[in-house]
Amino acid sequence: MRYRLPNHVEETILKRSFSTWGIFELYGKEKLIVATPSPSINPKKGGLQIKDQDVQNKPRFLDFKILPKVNSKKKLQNHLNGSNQLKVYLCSPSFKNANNFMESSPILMGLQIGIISNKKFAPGLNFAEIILNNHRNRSLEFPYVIINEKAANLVCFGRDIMGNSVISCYKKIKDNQIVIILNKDKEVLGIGRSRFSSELLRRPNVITVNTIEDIGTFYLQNENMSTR
Amino acid sequence: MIRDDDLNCPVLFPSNEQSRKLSKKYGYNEWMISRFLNYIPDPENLLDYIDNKENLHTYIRTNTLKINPTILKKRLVSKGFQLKDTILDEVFEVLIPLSHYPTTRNSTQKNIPEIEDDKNRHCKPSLKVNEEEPKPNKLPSIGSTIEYLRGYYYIQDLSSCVAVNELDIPYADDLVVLDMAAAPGGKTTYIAQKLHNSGMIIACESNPQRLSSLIFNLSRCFVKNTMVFNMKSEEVQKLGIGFDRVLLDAPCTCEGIIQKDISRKKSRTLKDLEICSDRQKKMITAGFTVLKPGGLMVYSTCSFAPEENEMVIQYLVNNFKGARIEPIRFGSKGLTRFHKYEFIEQMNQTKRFYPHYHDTNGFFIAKIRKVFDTSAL
Repeated sequence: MRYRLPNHVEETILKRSFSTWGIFELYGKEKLIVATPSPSINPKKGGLQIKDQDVQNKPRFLDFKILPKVNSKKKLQNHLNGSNQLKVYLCSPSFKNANNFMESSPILMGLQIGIISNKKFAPGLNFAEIILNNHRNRSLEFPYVIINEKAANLVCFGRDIMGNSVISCYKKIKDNQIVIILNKDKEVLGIGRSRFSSELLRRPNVITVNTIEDIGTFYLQNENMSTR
Repeated sequence: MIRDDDLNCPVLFPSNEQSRKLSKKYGYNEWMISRFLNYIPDPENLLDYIDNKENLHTYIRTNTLKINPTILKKRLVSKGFQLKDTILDEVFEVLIPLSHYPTTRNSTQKNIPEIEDDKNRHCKPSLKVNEEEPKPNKLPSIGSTIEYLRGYYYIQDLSSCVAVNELDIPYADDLVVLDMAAAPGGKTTYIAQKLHNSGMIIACESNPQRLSSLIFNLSRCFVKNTMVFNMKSEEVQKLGIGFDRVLLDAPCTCEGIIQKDISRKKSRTLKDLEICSDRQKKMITAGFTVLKPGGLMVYSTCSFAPEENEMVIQYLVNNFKGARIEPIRFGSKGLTRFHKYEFIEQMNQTKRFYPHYHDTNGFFIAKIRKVFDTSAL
């Protein structure tokens, strides 16, 4: 991982995303850092991977990568396509001298909130959390779906969402749009992609939202690794 | 004063009839039992206690970065979990539902020595079964609830929480804390919540295999004030920073968690003890060196062995004039003598946790203040 401050283009992308998701006022309040991941990924192996070459070159600081759980070949492909991805991290404002530490090859700096890929920002679960915290005590003005309890338990472990399970949703969702998946207590369970526009999201007996990322991702991945 | 050379060798006690009998009965290496008989109070009680799986206690620590302890308790109780308050406000004990016990068991009255805060001490649950009560529905595991996945709590032993609590972390924007052996992140995330996600935590972990769990837990608990380094914490000086607080939860032989991992009854050797003790001395020296004057260091292990605990602290005190042991509120007093060794008087301010007394893992905590700047003597 190589950490650095975002350049002008990346800043513009991030500002636009913060604005789209209704939290522009938060931009600049906290420090944002980007990281370039290492290029080689072995899709057959999930979890932590240490690159031998790096081990030889850097005896003290090892480079690594975490692959999220993937449900299908398509999702895996989507993930791997982003070899020029930048991970975006949010740091505490008290990371004043963060620049000094970037040269010491930290494994992690702050909280990952998403990825910049193909000049677009893809929000992660922590970004969704920030959005939701910012909308507390006011109406939710961003693309979301609220699902019932049964579906909530399934989504946590990677399942897609049937129209029957959607209790309510944001009125202006378009098809193929990123949405935040919430439970009935308005807590983030995952990030999804709508298959239909908001009018059709409650269509019965059809999958209407694909789950891209969920809060159980890493948990399941580790469980699977431990049973191998 | 004990010379450093004297503090190097693990102590082996001669076996006797009792150690032979107990090692056979409970399946331990005999040298371990011989040692237990010399530094654990009521050793037979301990062996009996940890041999019974019903005595395994589970604690959860609320992640106050995400939820209030009272609200979390309400939510989990509404799902059917039984939670009990402990000496720390944000930590709850998860009681096993009574119907899970095959038979009623009488809890024996125990003498609990040297608990200084008896009023606040958590009590054992009543194990009487009311036969008229309906059987509760099957509960999910405490590690697979939505609340867990959302990072509302962390499954962590009470003794580990006490160690972090003793760091006396004030709310300050510019506080810099070092966690010297951070994975899987239980104590790091607790420090982060004590800091209200401000300040800065440097978390070191030398084992790359354990980094993924550390990173996952930091993300799950919404920690944004932490930098993780994959480095040996003995080399932390290379970062060139001074720390206000240092936590060293040192890698150890884990005698204190045999109840959770019974393979440790046989898998550890005296050589392991020596290796651990040696590394702990290097780590504590490195940690104390980067501590700012006036700063506080907490040293802990999940081991009973004096070679990994009091002898490491004695080594530090011998080598750094500015190291002062400070009192800790909870637990039993640390040893002031062991075998031929006599430790400094203040060693009784360090604390030991015994499963059969405190319903926690076996644990050791020492709190050391750097009273003035001094290099190694």
